[in-house]
Amino acid sequence: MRSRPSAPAPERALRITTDDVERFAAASGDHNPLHLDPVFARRTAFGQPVVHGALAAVALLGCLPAGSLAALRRLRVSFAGPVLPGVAVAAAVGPDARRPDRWWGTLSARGKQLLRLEAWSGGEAPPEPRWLDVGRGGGPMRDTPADVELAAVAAGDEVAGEYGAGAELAELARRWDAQALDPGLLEALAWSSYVVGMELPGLRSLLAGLRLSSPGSAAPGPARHRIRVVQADPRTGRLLLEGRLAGPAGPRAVASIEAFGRPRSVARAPIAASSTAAAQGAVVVVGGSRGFGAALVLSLLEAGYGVHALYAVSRDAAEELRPAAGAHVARLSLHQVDARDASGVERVAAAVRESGEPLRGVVLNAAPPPLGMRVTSASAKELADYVSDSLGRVAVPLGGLLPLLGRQGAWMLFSSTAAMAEPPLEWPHYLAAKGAMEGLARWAAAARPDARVVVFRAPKMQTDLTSSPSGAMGAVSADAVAHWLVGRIAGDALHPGFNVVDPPAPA
Amino acid sequence: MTLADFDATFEEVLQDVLGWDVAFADDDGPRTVEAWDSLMQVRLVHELETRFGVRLPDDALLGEQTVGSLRSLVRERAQPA
Repeated sequence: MRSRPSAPAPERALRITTDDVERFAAASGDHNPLHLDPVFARRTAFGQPVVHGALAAVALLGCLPAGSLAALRRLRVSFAGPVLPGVAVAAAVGPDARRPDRWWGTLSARGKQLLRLEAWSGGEAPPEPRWLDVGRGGGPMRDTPADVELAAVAAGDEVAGEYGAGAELAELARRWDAQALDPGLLEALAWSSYVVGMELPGLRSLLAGLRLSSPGSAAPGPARHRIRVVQADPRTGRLLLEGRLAGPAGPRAVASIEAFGRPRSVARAPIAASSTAAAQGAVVVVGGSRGFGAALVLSLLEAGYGVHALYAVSRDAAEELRPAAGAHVARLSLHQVDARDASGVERVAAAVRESGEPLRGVVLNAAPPPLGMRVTSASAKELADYVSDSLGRVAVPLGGLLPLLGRQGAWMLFSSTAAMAEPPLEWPHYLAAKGAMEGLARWAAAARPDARVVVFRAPKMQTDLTSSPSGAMGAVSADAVAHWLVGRIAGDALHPGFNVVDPPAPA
Repeated sequence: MTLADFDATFEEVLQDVLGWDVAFADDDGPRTVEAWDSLMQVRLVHELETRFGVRLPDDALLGEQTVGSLRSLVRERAQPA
């Protein structure tokens, strides 16, 4: 592996807590729900709340010696992966061997680098944007994030307004031993977080990179800022921003920010009443509120099944299924159940029995969202935990529902992935989990030779999981894939026993 | 742009995006460079496009690339003398 060749610096474990995240949100004004709201975060590629990147940078800077920290006027930070609240990350810092005024630092976890930082005291003139005046336009700071339509953002667009970091910011820096950091740089980190999380792109955003400089003479107090879009790339949602923060006494900081926006998800049109098919029996869909699971629920309703959809977190997403079900809504039951919880699955089984409809099919589609990782001796435990978590969401409902599965035309669908054939380097845990699940599917076929057991190697689809800079490219419609697959299952294309189904070739 | 300028700028972009003071070879890629994941590749391609004023095909963003394959894609478009 090529990484920094200098002698490995001693590592220090940092654990940023949810309390830190809440304090940073209050201090910076970056109240983006990605950091604070588990239900919102569940519908992103990260699947869970993540630490503000700028806060992680402050914590890493706190690992530098106070004397060197105080001299810093420039920062370059690259955000490569999310830091999770409450989970330890390894921090390493060191002086640059060739340039003594320069320092580098990294945060690592899950076998990979999550954040990379370079800091120095100055030297050359700061990269001032050509438009220096922060002006008088714009309004007060936002309380809730803007929801910017990415397609409408173009180079030259500007945002301006008031900005002031709260007094809690200095307190937070002290808590992370970074109190010697130049106040202008500290404020600039908070401000950059606010800009991306609240203004541009706002609600559906990802901070990827920062270059900050401070003249080193910041007086505290309210300031104004102005941000300009330098580049906007519709292919990946990438925005390159330039910004300036200034107070009554003069400039505080200059920033160059790289961020990504995610497109808005589009509400589905309801299924038309004319598509009502003959009643097919009941199906339980585990992991049915979002993405491919939700698409399967709707296709199964359309094909005439009564559907019991299970979801763990995403109540709002599950509720969106009701209007989308249209004329079939009476045949849709939503159950908020943790699929790993045997008593919860038992309640669903009781509901199926009470409905009086024979259970024809079980869809095992729940999986925890995988964060990118690599296999190292240190990350292997996390990999094993991920596999265990994933398998629990398949095995518990399988065990609970198998006794209910009728003898007439029964089927089981296991959601696997086309990535099994072309393993992505960042998903060893995901592949291991799906491999274990496919093994379980083979067992299910042996235990119930009358049933059609389907392992579906799902292609890359447009879902929350792939709503990331590289994820959405080349992804196909989940609705179209679900419709095709349900057609295969409801028809007689598959034989009893074990079937591996690959996705249809792209049109 | 001369070939020497091209190589210097190309190397600078690699250093900026993937890490400092790392010597990159043409067959380096996601298997050999610690920081090279799918997000970094997207950022690398955007940065190359910005610095060289070119537009690379979608496959450069998505498909598996190496230092050498990206160098060829940019060189074909930037045409250093």
